[in-house]
Amino acid sequence: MHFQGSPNMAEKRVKLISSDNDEFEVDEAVAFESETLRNMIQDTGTNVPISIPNVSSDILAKVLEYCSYHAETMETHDDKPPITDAQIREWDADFVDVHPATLYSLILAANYLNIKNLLDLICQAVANNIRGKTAVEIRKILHIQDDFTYEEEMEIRRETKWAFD
Amino acid sequence: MECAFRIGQREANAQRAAHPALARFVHVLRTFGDCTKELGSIEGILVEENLGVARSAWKEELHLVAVNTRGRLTQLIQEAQANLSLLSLGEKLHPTLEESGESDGTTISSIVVGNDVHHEEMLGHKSQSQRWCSHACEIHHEVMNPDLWGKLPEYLLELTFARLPLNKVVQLQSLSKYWRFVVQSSKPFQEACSGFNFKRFALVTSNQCRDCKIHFCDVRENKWFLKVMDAVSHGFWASPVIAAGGLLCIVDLHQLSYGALSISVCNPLTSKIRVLPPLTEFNRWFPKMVQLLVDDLTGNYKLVVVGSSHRAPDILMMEVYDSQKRSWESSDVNPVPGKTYRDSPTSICGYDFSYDGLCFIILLWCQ
Repeated sequence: MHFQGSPNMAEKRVKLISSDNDEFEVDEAVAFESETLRNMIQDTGTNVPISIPNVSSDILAKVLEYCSYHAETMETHDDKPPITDAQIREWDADFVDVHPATLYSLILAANYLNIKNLLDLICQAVANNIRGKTAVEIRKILHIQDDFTYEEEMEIRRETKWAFD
Repeated sequence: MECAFRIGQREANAQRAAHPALARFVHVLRTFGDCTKELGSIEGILVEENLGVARSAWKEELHLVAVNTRGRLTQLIQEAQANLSLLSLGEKLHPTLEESGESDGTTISSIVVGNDVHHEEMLGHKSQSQRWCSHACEIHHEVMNPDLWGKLPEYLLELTFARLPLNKVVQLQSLSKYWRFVVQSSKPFQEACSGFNFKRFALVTSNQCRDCKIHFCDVRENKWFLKVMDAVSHGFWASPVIAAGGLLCIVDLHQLSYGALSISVCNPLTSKIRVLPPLTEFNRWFPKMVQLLVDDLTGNYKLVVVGSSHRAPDILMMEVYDSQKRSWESSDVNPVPGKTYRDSPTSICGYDFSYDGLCFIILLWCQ
């Protein structure tokens, strides 16, 4: 089905429904950034709206923003200069510069929707933020239970001492 | 080219010895000329200090490394031979490493299992570091809610942790038993780590018998980490002799002179050591050279020991240890002349611990 006013008439449009029942409509190429959506569309076609029950509308909007931008970078326009890698990196850096709670929701959404580049981007952002932290701080932040006995802990300390200097 | 260099060195020695086995090995090399191109990749650098009698042999090894890398490194390694301390070598190496990219022909690869991590960009680092409160306190509760991040599925955590620098990855072991397991033995995690890896390597030094110092270089962090392994000192003359794919092969050279050969293989990153069983036909031959081959994908390794028969010194003998079978197997080392082995040859040059001026370069071909 073709929608009037679509920037590209040959482009199919896809309807997506978030967990809080907001409807989004995007180009097929944008949805195809997500491996999960691509499989769904290939199964059911673009006529049926696709519901995404575990991604809320604000997060889905963010994800689609990412997908649109990256789908756009793949296109070539005669009138516009191509987007450089540096520009993309800068855009990506801005994209993940959000509240950690948003980042948390994004990482789950990217995982569910199977958007590899977005998942990589977010994991890298999280890693960059915890790289300066000590192991104890990381344990606290990520809520990892310490289940070592005192003797085990001493042994690990001795073994990994070199990495702490 | 590298190969020719090596043969040249060895031939000069060997002419004195005039050993028929060497003539054959040169012949083998010429026969399989195509395969020798693979000698160009050096799997790790080993630098020995105070090795006494083996010193000259080591210089050759170092030169061999040097011709494979950029001029700067060549010079540094020569300086190292001129008795510069290894640490200062490390310091000087920093700028070289930072510059080295994929395209400049630098062929040093790692002896470290894929735990060193390469990061491309410090994405949004400045602005976010303010928000990421590390102490998860009352005030910053909503900023860094531990309950929230604690619910992240383990494999997403793995993806994230895989992007941390080498020393952080090692530190993760102290988080919990699960993470100790993941860092040490989880294949998916190690694969994820190697996915973000830069060229990485370690320098290994040993003072003959007491301990083994491993200098890990974290190219990302531009830092060196020194790890001292005293666990290798179970043998009096145990020395690291060869490294490949993150593993280090340790041979007790002292025992060899008493007619025994004790070989162990260790992972310097995790300090795990496996002492290999004795060679099956040790009484029939004298081992001269050892080489370690590691399968990057599976982590399985084979250890090849080559030597000459007691009965006839010009007959080469070889035993291969398979880490999966956990046993030795003897093989025929003499190739059939005229047969084409171009399918999938792996050429190896090993550590020659016999000091008799003889060297073997073995070309292995897989079935």
